[in-house]
Amino acid sequence: MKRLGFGGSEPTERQLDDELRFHVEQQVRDYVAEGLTEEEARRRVRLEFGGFDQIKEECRDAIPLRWLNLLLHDLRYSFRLIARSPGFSAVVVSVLGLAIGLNTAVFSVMDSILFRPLPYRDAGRLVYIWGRATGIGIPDDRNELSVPELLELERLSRTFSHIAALSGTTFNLSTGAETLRVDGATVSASLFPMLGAQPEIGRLFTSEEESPGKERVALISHSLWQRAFGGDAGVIGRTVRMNGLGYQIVGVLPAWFRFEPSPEDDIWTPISFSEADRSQRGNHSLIALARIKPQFSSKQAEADAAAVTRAIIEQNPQYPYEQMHFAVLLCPLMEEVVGDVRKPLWILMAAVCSVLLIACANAAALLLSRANARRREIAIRVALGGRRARLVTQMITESLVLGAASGLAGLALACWLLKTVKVLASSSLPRVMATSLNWPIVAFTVASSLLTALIFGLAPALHATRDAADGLKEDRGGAGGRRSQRWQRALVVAEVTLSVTLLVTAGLFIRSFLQVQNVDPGFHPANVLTMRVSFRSAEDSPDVARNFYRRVFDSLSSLPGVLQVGAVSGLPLTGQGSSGTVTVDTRAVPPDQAAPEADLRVATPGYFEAMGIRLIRGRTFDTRDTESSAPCAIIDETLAAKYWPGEDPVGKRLKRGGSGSTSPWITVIGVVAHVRYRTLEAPSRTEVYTPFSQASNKSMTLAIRTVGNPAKYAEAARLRIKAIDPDQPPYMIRTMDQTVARSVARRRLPTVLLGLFAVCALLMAAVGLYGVMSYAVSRRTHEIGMRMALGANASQISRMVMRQGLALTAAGSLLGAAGSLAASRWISALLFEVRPVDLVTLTITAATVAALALIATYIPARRAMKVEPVVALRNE
Amino acid sequence: MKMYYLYMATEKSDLLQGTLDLLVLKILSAGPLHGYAISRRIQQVSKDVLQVQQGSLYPALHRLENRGWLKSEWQETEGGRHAKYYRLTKAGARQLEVEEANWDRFARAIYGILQTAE
Repeated sequence: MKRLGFGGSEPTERQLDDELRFHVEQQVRDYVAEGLTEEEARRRVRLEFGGFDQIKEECRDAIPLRWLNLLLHDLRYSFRLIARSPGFSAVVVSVLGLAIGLNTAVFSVMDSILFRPLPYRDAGRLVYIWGRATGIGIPDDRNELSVPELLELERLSRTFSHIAALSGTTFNLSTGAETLRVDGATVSASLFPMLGAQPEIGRLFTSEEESPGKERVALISHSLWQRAFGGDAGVIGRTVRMNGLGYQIVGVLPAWFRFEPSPEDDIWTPISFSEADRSQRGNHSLIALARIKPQFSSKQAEADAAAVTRAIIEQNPQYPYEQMHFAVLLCPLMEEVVGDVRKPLWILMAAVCSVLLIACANAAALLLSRANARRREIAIRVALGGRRARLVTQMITESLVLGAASGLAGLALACWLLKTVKVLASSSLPRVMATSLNWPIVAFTVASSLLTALIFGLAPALHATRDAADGLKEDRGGAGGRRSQRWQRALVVAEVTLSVTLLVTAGLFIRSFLQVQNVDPGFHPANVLTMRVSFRSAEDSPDVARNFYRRVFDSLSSLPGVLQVGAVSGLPLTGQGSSGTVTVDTRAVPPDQAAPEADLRVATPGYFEAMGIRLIRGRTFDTRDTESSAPCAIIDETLAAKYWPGEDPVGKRLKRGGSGSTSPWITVIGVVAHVRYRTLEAPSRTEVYTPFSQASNKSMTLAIRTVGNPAKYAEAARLRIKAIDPDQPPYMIRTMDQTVARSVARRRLPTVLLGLFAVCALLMAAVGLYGVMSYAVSRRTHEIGMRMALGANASQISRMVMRQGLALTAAGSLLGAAGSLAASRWISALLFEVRPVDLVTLTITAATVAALALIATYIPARRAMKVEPVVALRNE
Repeated sequence: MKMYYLYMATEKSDLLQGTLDLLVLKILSAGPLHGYAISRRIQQVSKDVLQVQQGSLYPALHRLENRGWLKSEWQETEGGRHAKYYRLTKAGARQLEVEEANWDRFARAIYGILQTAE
């Protein structure tokens, strides 16, 4: 029967002591009895015995599972140590906890956005299909497809098992009680099978339902089902009115389903192509999605797409595909959804890791100075036979306990952060609604807290136990203290380096963001209220729509405080609006280059004035332009400059479609400034505006210029429109300033976060610098006393201390600047009109760092000044 | 006459450990003793040839106790002091027989070689 070494079975320290002491006493007695003096007897026995501790150690070793006892002992000891200095422990745990929490949160977000696959069946095989069309200057030249192009793609491609077309739209849903504005899309029947989505109740579309004229059916999302229909299963087969037409609901999609590229969509209806659509090659309005067959790789699919491209170009010589450098482009769906946040997220991850490293360095420095304070105790233990390994183990256990506590604190922080992120970032980050804490995340937190503990615990532990005998000497800043100081100084330099790199990077991002804000978008967004109205009634003639808008304009213009009212088919920076080919009648360029892809907009009189778009030549639309007057258009300055350079564009002609198109020629009546419709960060395509009276678009966005805060007018405007026609509720009611802010949201979030992390890092580094300088001063009290006794005055002393601190800061800053240069190559794609070596950023960063360093070194320097030489010299 | 010190080298040699175990078990088979008494008894009975180092004895006592061959108890000595007395258990008695047999075989083997080598 083996006795296990738990609890009471192990002989206690006391018992072992007593046992051995008894032996000693007996032996001494016997030696005295043999004739030695008491003193000699004791000395002999002591020699014979050797080290008490060693014997006790061996006795304890005789018991198995001793490591468990040791661990428990170390843990108890660590807890006692931590409880004894609560301030110290609190600082370490909170700093590390903050860093670990931030890391976990960022990693969580990254995991749910970048690493987790899309929730569709075999999502790696899904691709977006774009048509490349080089117009004037949009960066990626990616265009939607037209109906003929899609049909040819379906006919010619060999590597796709499904192809689906989508066209985003919004619906006025009347549920009897109220009219809701719902986002949705018209889609091919093959979309949902392609994504592997099965209906929760009901059925999906059949391909027969794609023909025009068939009975109208609709699929709704789970959340809409709950919101608008109360989760009633009887909704299947019910007919609802959408946009004035009756649709039968045939199915409800499951709760997990979201079409990620457009996650707000709640209603889907079958897409159908009329004869007119099938002849409009130049009308690019369809998004296409496809699934690659299992037996083909993506390379093969791309090769096939290239072949389809060539076929389309060859079969349609009358269309300017060559001039547009047309190509069918495939883009993996995942890339489409998350591609533009991938790099910013990695940059944020690098930033939080830097913050964690700085926090570790601070913790290590703190532990190092504390180990130094315990040098005497450690030295004595080593001298009495304590094994170095034991001591190191004990110190590491202590740092593991601190690490575990920080990990718990960090986990709690991360949970809270994730809840906040979901609320704040839903418009800035894709897929963020699916973020949650799961096992990989928790494992990550545990691993990072353990790793952190090892990093900041190992070095001080090893360092403090090496040459421990030195601790017994009188320490006047002896070798051990000096080596510890060197470590601490190295840590501070490292911290400053990391924080300077972070600061400069954040500064570049901030400057980029400010530059984007400073871009001239071509219009004046201040004091403009916008709202969209979808006058969608297919049966009604265009006259009814025109009448409606006329009454709306009259009513809104009469509101006090309203300066101008206008409307446009697609507001800037909203993604609304379509594009198409226009053929320009000019001799300035060869005919085969005279058919660019242009953004097409339908505008009412008053639009340009309401939006503050500058008129350059000619005139804007007014009452002269009616449905019966000559077809006219307004172009933007880039079109004018490219195709009629040096001439007056007013009076020139252009037409919709390719050069062979039968559309009527349109006369140019005016030239306006270029508007950045797509994004603030780059010019958009050339723009062509046609008047509402001649090409009525059913959905228009009203632009209302007001006196003062436009948001105040929202309710009044809404009520006026409701009074005119309650079935056409306005939606997307926003100020233009809000729309502009939303368009840069994807840039704003990483910039703000990066700035926050950089500030965190700098503050931590400043605290680290302060700690190290304080410690250095306290160790050098003797030296300072000497100097003062030899004639140095207070200000010389303080200057000496500050010089040292600033030298460390300078070293760290230079390294940090070099680091930021290296980092800038990585981030340069994300900067906007800011060069990586930006003097303004570097200067501001240097000034900030210098200021903080001055404060951090000044306080210890003052303390150094106050040293009384007599006291300092005497105490040592 | 040469005295042999039974001490622990840093690598505990099995032979020395086993021998010490045997001696301790044998001595305690005559009755319970405390550690000091055991060490004196070994010295006496071997007529000062063998002397045990405390650094070896006490770990051995604890090990033997841990394996269930000895049982310890704090008791008062005649002098009125407190000491830890060790006693042989039944399992210890059985182990003693085993060890004695082993030692016997071992000794015969050595002796056998010494005889023939002449």
